[in-house]
Amino acid sequence: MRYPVLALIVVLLVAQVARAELPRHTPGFPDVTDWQWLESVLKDPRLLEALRALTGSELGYRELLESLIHRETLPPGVAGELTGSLNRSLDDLVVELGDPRLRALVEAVEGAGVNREDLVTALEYLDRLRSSGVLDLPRYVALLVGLADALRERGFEVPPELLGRLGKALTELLSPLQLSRVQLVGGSANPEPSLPRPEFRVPTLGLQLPALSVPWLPLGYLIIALVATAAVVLVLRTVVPRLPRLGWLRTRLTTSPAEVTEVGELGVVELYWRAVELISRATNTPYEDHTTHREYLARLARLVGEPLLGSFSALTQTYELYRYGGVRDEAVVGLARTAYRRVVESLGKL
Amino acid sequence: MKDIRRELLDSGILIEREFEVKAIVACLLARGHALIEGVPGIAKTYTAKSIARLLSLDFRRVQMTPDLLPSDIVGYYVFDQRTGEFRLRKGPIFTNILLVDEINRASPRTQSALLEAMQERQVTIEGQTLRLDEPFMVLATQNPIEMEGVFPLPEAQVDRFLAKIVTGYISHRGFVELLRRVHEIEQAIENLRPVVPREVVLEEIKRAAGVRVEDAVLDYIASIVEETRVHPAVRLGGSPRAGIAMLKLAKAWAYLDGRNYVIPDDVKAVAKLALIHRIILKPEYEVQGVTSERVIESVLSKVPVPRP
Repeated sequence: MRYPVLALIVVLLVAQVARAELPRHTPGFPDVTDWQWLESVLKDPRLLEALRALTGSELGYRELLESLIHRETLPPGVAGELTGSLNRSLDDLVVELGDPRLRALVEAVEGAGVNREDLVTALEYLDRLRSSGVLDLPRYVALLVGLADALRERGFEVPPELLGRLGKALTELLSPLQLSRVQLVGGSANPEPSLPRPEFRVPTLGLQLPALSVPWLPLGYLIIALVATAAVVLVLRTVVPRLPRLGWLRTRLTTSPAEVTEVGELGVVELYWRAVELISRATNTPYEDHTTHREYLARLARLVGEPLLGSFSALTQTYELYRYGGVRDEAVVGLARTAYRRVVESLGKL
Repeated sequence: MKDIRRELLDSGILIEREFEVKAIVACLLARGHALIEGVPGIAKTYTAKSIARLLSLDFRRVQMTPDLLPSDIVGYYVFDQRTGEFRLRKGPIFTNILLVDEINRASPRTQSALLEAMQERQVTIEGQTLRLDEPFMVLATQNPIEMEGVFPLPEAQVDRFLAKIVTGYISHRGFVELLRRVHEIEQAIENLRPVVPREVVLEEIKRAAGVRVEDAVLDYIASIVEETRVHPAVRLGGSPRAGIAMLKLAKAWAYLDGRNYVIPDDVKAVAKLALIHRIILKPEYEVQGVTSERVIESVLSKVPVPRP
């Protein structure tokens, strides 16, 4: 049983190290590789701020969309157009359009001198450009994204009107793609157009986001440390057969120097039972009710060696003399205290 | 008493009989009687005889047979024609160590003749009561498997024995050792000479009786005996006499170990000796193979040992 467990631990350790990065998904935080979640981000800007705080990165709407574009299922043509537009700066796009009113609006945004009404006016102007055919869909999306990021970077709240338009534009951008992938009832040709079509679903988007682990919670390193500790303990137990179980670690943690110094106030019986408690924890050898003190010592002799065995044996003898032999002089008490100290010291050396 | 153990065990006269020797000596120190049970040919009689020989005590042996009369054991009055008076002819019971071989071969009447002697340490012959010498110990042997011509001991009689020592075969290694040295051992037993004077035996009996017992140990003994009464497989558990037997044996056991105080280990060590013949099992459990020995083990594993 020991070797399979050891092998499993080693495999887990190697796998964890081989990944060389923290887990991409943080427990308790939604998986961002879903389009519906991206839609939620567009509806509620606080989600993006939370995402930025969580990842510690300068994540913006542009990065989110770029990750959307990188989705493998997007046709190369659509992806190329959108990427081309997004790669250009807001100024370049405005210059390319050659519209002075739009240019004035963008400059106002970049100069932090725009108010909400002007922004809504600008958005409506963009809509008109889009409907008149002057502005194609990829560049419309790129302009909205550029405006949103410009506002966010300057500390302004991104208005819902902007984000709503962006979401709608993205849906429009993806709709032809989605429709072409829907399995129609009766086959792809759909011989009977009157039959209801399956419910429309936006495809899941594979966003290539940075790792989403919380920086102050190095979960991966914690796992590696735990696995490594377990492996070391197992190896030690294999190499050193007399090494007691993990209980020794607990004892080392619970056996404080204070316990040794307090000995002076305790009687022989109390010292013995305190030693039994420490040893039983350290060696995982509980003292059963029907066990005699000599039986316990004999049992212990099969598990531990010197100096613990010798010191506990001495303590057992003094306990026996005191408890059953009625020898209650100071010499016995002194012997018991000495033996107890040695027991504690021996436990510390385990 | 250590001399007895050394003579018998260290010299190799008795092989793998440490426990039996210790138990018999403990019975002697506790002023009790021992019943040794085992199949034929496992040195029951040899063991008893060897111990008796090492003590400077009067020793007699009685081979029980179905036609043996009580008077053959306790004695009787005979008319002396020269003096014209009845003269007492003492039976073999007037001794210190009485080896009663195959006790279950004697008739119940003869067996019961031992009762008074064992319990009261006196015998009554023709209305005259006579005290037995101290120490007085009956060492009886019996064979558990013989069914023909035997009379199982009644419960009351069995209860008179302080301990029942159930002995078995020795190990293969010990058996080989026995075969190798059989002539030497036979000669050595014949040459055994007393090593413990009577006065020493009496003194050690007194000392063993004075061994210290804490109240917690008394409580432990009582708990064990009481637990035998409520065990599901037991029809009749240990009596107060069983508890007294445990206490006496535990004291002697501690004394033989060189201690003047009893520890729970002593109680555990003598529990089977004192209880095994005093526990009567329910037939339904008996047919399933449950033994008194197992019941005692179960009881010992249940009753908590004294803790402060």
